[in-house]
Amino acid sequence: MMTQLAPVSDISNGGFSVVINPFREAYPELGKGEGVGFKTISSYIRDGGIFINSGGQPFAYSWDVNTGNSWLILFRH
Amino acid sequence: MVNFIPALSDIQTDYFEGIPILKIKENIRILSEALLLKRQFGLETEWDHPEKNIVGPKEVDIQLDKILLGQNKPTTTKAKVYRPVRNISQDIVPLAHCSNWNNKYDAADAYYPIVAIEFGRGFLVHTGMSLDEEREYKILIDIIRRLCLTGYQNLAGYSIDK
Repeated sequence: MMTQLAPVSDISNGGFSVVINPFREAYPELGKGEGVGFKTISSYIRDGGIFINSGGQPFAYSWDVNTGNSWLILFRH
Repeated sequence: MVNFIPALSDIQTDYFEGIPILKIKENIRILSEALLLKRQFGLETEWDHPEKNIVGPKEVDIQLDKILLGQNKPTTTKAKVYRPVRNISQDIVPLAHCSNWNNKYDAADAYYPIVAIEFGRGFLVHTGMSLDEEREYKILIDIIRRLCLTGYQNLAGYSIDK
């Protein structure tokens, strides 16, 4: 079983059976909220991957990889 | 429409005249329907229950479920559980359970700190544990190891058998 660190953008290339998010309730994202980062992760899972979130409530916060800011993601009707 | 809110402050421990207290800077209970986890994956987790003295991580006894154990006998281990799942549906596979998170030692009142949610052809694994200490990290690593060695096939078989 081989492990490696990888950016979110690499997980959709079909090379990983299991991906572990070590950032607990946050996940890496470009900009604020539900963007290309979440779309990449959800596509990875939908296509057959196993995504393990380490602790707390998954995808509660996005973490902007450029600014280092964390955002709580809420939807309203 | 999406609202973006800067990350809320966390819960900190402090002492007042020698008495340990919790300093909660902000404490907002958020509707599950407003969160990505519910909207995209259909999963709701438990929140704090101050009326039951459940605030933040709580140490309980957990057991791994058969899908990770295979032929091995279940063992009970202590872990600090945070945001467990209570309501299980057809798409949610329990990987570990505990029966005393709600202060009731009742097997019928089970909570699930670790579950796999079926999404398309894959799974999101929710780990409802506090990873502030080495013990919980070791439990998580053990779960990941079991998942990779045997659980992966079991999860795939679970999806096919549905």
